[in-house]
Amino acid sequence: VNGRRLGLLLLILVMGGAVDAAWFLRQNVGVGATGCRVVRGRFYGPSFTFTAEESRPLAAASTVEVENAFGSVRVAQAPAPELRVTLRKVVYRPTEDVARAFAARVALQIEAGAVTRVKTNRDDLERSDRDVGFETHMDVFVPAGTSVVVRNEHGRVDVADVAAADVSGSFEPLRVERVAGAAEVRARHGDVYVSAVGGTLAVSSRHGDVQLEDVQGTCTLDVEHGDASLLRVGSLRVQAAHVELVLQDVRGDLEVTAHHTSVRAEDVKGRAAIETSLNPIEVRRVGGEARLKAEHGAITASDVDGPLTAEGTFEDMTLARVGGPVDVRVSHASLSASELPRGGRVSALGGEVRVHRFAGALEVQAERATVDLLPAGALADAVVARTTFGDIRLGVPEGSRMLLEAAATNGDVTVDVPGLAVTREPGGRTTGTMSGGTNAVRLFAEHGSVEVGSALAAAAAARTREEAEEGSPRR
Amino acid sequence: MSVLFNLEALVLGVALIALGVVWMLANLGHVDLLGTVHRWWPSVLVFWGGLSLARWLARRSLPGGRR
Repeated sequence: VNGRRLGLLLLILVMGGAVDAAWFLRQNVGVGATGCRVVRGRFYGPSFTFTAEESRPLAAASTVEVENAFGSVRVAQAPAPELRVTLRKVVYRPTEDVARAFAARVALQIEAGAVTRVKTNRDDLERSDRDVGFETHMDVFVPAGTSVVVRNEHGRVDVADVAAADVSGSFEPLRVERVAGAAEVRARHGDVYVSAVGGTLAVSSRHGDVQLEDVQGTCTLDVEHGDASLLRVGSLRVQAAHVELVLQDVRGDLEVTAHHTSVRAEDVKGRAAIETSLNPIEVRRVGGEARLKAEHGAITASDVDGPLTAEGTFEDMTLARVGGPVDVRVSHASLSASELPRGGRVSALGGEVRVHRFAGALEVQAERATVDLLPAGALADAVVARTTFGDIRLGVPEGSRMLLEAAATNGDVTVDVPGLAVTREPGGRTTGTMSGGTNAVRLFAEHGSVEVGSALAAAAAARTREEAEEGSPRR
Repeated sequence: MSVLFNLEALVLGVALIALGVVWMLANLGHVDLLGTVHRWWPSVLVFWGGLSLARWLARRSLPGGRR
């Protein structure tokens, strides 16, 4: 091999490499008025648009299935009982003649049958001309009462005024509106908007935001990696991961199973069962029972008409105005509850337990926690509170009845309630009766004190503590 | 058969002619220059290899065998 031949070979290879590099840059990188952008695939460079249209009669209450890729699909109601399809072809070729020649080969295919199928010959063309980028945008007009199935990839989908809709798409938004019956939507890497569905709705979304409004039937949502906002929906079942979930006006039961998801629900007519992790739960105005569980997440619940079961860890829990009895477990965080007319049970580890304006029987089991109890009115039911490494404070309203039993190890028992005479027994046990009550009020603190005082004094002391806490820096 | 042609010159000449034709067709709006060159440039190597093989076979057939 002589030097000239080797030089020529190197020259050819360098030239080939340069051509390949130029080709790659043209396919993937564009520099324009908006700066430099990197794109992949065949859809770059000069493009030319061509249009074709086809129509045929279609009976009412038919089903039309539209299949497309790399282009939008719009389905709307036709004024006449016919199926009319407008196909807009966008071809990425350097010259208009070349683009026109290719566009002539892009054909609309309508197959009649029990289901009328609308698609293009994209698959055939992509097999023979794999380097040619072309978009196919379809406008499909169907008679009233038509059920529609749309399968689209890499293209926006708009469906409106149909009897039923089954829509799937990717990488572009999906919009479904005014569906008389059931609707099903599956989206990947695209936002979803659905409104005015007369029947049931099932939505599955990955990597996109979801907005659902005015769904009459049962709604099922499976969403990951996106925000979801639902307004005025029927009974709702949600599976979510890595989502910010906002629910308003759920006209039935609500069930949320989620992780790494924040949940905010307002105006739930039925029961609400919500489970999540590492993010907070906030519910307001629940018509039925509420079951809430947040691992490493705060729980806030207010205006719950039914009973409430809540389990939270590492973040504080706040409850207000719960109509039914509560069953609360909170670990490594505080509980603040107010206006619990049916009492309930509280299990707490760490933090502080503050239950104010409660009525009914109440049982508090705490560890390494201070317990602060203030009834809404005269005590007439059993109250049991146990804690370790913390104090117990109970405010007793005027007119209360009780059979008191209190004890504190490594602490003091202080009783200062007018009308409550107590007897101190050996071993630190204190008993007493007020107004002949038989309802047991049992307060036990290990490594802490028990303080029983009048409600007015307790309320004043609580206000003082709250003001002091508000003035101190937050954790 | 005479095999004493300059192989490098032949390859270079054919490649230049092909490039010029493609370039001209591109200017006339009939082909996409970059796409065509990108698709067909390895044929230069094939062409060159074919010529080398042909020359080697021709030399073997000469009187006196391999040179």
